Amino acid sequence: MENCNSFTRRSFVKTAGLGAILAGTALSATACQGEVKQENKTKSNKKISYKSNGKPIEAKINLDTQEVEINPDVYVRYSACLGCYASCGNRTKIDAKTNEILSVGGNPYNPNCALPKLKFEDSLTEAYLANSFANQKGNLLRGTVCARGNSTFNAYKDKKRILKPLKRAGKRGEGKWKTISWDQLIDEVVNGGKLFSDIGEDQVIEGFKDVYDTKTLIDENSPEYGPKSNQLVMLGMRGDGRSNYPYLFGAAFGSVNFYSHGSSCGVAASAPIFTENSMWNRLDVPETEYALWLGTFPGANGKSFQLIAKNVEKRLKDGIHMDVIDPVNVGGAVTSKEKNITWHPIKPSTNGALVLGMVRWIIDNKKYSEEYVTFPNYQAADEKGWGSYSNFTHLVICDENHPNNRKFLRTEDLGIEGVAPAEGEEVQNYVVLDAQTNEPVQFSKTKKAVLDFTGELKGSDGKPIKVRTAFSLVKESAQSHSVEEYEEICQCEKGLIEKLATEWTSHGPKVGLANVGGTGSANGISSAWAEYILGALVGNYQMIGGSVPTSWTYDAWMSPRYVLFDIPDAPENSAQIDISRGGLNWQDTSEYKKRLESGEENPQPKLPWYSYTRGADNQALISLINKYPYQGKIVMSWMCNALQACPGAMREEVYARLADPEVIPLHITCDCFMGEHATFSDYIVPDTTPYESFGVITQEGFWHGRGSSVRWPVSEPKTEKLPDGRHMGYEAFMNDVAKAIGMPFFGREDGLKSLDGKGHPHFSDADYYLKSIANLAYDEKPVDDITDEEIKAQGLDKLPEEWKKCVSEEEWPKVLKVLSRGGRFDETKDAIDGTRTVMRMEFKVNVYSELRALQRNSFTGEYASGCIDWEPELLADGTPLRDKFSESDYPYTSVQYKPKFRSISMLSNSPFMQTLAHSNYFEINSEDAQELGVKSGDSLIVSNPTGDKMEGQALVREGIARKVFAVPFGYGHIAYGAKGYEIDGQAIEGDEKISKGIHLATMLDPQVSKDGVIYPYSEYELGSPARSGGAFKIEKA
Amino acid sequence: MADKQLCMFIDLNKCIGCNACSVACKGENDIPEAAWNTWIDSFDYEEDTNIYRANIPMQCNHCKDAPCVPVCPTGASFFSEVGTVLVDTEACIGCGACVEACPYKVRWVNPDTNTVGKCTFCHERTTNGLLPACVSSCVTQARYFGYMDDESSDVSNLLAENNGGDILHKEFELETHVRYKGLEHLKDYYGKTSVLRGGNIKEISK
Repeated sequence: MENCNSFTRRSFVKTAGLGAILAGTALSATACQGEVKQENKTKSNKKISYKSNGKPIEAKINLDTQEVEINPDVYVRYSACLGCYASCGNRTKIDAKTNEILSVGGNPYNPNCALPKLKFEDSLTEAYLANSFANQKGNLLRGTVCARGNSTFNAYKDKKRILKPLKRAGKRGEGKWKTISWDQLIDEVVNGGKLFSDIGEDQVIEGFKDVYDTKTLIDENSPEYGPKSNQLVMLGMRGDGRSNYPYLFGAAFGSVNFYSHGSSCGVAASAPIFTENSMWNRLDVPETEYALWLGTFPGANGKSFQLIAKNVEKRLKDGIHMDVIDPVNVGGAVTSKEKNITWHPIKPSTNGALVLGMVRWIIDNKKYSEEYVTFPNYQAADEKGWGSYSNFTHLVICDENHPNNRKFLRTEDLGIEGVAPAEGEEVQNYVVLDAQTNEPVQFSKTKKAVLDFTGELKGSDGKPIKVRTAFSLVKESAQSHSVEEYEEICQCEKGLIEKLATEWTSHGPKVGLANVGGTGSANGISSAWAEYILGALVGNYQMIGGSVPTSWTYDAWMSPRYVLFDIPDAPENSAQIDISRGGLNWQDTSEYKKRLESGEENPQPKLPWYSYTRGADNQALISLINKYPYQGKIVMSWMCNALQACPGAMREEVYARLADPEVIPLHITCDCFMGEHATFSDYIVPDTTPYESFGVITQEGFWHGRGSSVRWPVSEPKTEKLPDGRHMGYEAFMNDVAKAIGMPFFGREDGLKSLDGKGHPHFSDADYYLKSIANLAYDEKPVDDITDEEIKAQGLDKLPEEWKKCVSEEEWPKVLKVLSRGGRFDETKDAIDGTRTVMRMEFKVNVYSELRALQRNSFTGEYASGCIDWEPELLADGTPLRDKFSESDYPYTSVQYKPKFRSISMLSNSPFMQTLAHSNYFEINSEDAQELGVKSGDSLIVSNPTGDKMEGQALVREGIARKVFAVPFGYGHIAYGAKGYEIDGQAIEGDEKISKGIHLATMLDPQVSKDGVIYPYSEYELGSPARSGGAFKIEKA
Repeated sequence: MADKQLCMFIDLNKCIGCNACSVACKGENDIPEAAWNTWIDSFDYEEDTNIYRANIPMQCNHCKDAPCVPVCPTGASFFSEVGTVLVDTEACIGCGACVEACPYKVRWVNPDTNTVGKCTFCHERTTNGLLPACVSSCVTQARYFGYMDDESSDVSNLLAENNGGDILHKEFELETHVRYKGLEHLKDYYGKTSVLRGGNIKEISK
């Protein structure tokens, strides 16, 4: 293997060793003057006092007896990782004397970290053994975290961490700051006023006290905007276990504008589910018999990447087959033909066509489950052992002349008998044709319905109504192209669709797919809906080995001890829409109606509206900078980087608006570092790190088990301590603001309630989260008390005294038990009920959605499809992208994927990550590289039709589709330490290592971005960022 | 001779190239920022018209007749009682002879202390029964660790099943104590396409 040794044999003076080369900066080997005397030593086998460069070890384990001798100087505390948002566990090694984190690893009790994992009841001694090779235990049971999880503690050691409140001491965005006290921070943001008069800014700024007005409408002409309190816009909620706070704060304050990362993460993939309030389901990797990966790369990304990787390796070893459809071979488990996992390149943004082709093939060849698709209701399906039903057989009114056109046919449309709703319930009296009688009946009144019907039924007024079953609509849409045409669109290998469809229909319901990344394009909904329907053809929802409910756990929030997710005295909020323009069609807004009334022909909105999805974080940012539909008066950013997550938003025009107090009067950011949002803030609230904060996180997906990870302050926070013993952080800030303005729930002596109705103080994160951990500990069968021995092993007797007061004396030892394991998890097998999941709900697969069918394009008024349809990438007004920007002018398309060596917008400040991967690259196909005359390492300029230019190095690969460039996310920061700033007159230098790499710059949508409007290219029906696809040119620099 | 022999076995079929091992090693050992004791080389290769991505973790092989030991002028480089190759930093003068002598190029000079560093198989941990950091963090159980002369150990079983396992650079004719499964299969492909070492493009000498 000669090529493995690429190091030329040079003088050792120049040779710095592999490690140094990996790191890019050669360590200088000190020159050894003169001749080296080379003693020909024989093997010495000497025993000397060898000085290890390792961290102190946590225990000694006798290999013969397996006896564990714990090192009292080192605590091993199990908690949860927050290197990304997959809620894996972690294992923190802590210096018992200094409270410093020595190193981090995985948590063997957590199913994301270990396969098999330890049982919750297993002792901590077993956990030490899980990290030992005594009796080979560690080789099987070890708990792991990935490269990111291993680097997270390294990132939080960044010397530039913000530990005290900061207020800007120059223009917003200028980078001049001064330290202020906590009291001043709270006072100023609450009371507002001329907050920056000291630097010559005279504008009066409204504080929380002023915006906390749940009565006065934002705009009397547009009552759907709701009251003024909605002008508090909170960006940043995650699967982090801490996000209850902004969610509940928004509700208690009277604002609908609290945003998770949903849209920038991939709302398209979940949109079909949200139209039916169904539970979010995911591929059950541990039990599946065939897995189809569409833009989620097994063993490289997904939630949790670790759990997927472990189970995929196991299932492949068991002999099952998997296919991976992706423009880029990201690596992961696709390492060898022996493993029976195959990567198939595809053109970006065409997954929808591929899957529609599969749907067509399955329908043409009648390979769907005849039994499943004809169930008209859940009871019928349930009786036969299925986990869900679909609305394939439900009738849809397809009649231009009928007032309910595009809606489902209901019993009242026909004047036939429906079902009366029970009190407080809503019944949708959908209609199907009974399979035996062919007569229309209310859908719950038969067990089998007609699948494929197009025809007329007599309406209640005697006139005929044209109706079709949802199945016939799906079929017609799927048959709009031939299988060959779909393959042509995807530019995939010939015969792939038949191959995939055959495999998909050969395992009953024990098949599943994973699709988030493949929906991140301007036509993402086309892919997402088709993929959703693919499951309904085989009935895999809520079936073991199919698509299983994710996020199943014990109750941490509503019982059995405390009520933590309900604010009975929260203000009413009359808002019908949120600031991201979700909730109404444009044509139903007051603005549209008024402009129409005033004689305007075809009024056009400034920005598009979305009727059936809400809460798009990237669109909230776009609304804020365009001050449309209304202005955000206070923006609170936390645990997010909407700017970087919205690939078209990182541009000078956007920075200028974020820096303008006329656009956003008050911007407060809570962060550990000077991130992108902090840079454009007025105040910065120091935040706690994942090793210093609480969080209760429900395990998300790709398995059928149950449980929650628990994160807790394994190390005392380094943010400044307040006089009452709390440390500064997001939770302390919210409580203190709430207290100052008299909000419900937060900052109150009786803010939290136990189930007996008794009130408890709510001022800190510990007040809240320790109670949720008590719930977790007591739900169903309460956990055992922790033993004194285990308390000692983890130093739990040294935890803050205040913590004990947050729960009852009886609860405390059980709370400690859950803390000591970093969560509570069941045995995975306990979640299986025969062929179905124990956890299941009345699950309907909405193959046709009325909600979607009634959304209208804001610019053309055209209705969206109610079911699957193939659309190429479209601009916001429905203009096909390629009509505007041709492939001959812009031959390339983009793919943005999740990085291995960064995490979303984090970890660029970790020296481990910086040296392991100092940059990302433009990954391009070797044949394209040849055409461009480019080799790996050459500089490229990639530009889009807006004229944005990205510069970076090429990585020439075989494992990427033609005419594509791929860039992993998370590189190319403009802040987060990349840029210098000043605090109290002291300069803090910028670090170019943090800014290195390419940030994908997508174009602005030209149909919307005019007359001063800034609108980055987005999904045309949902507004999520269009990361993959687009139109680009590549030149050699 | 060593009393006992520690050994690592790496199944390349299972390695997904996540580099958790590389980083765990950095976290558990105080080594200079730029130095790495283990890392993964990743590259694309085509077989039967499909493209796969290979990953090869690399590190000190703790060779039986390690050429880095005899060249040490002070005796700082030595074989330990568990068959590993270590450096006594008190005795090391930082001359770099061993860095040059190691054909795998896995040693480095610490610029702050002017002493040589390398992978120790996490000596302190492994001589106390704990897994080395890299194995402890291997997400897909591609890495195994134990005593090869303990017949019941995973590593001795894996060595037996795999005919002793593959040796990195067999042509060096060194008896290594890091063995692989699936390395022979990949060696013909290595260097024909761009290699990423960690996440950085590695210069290829084709």
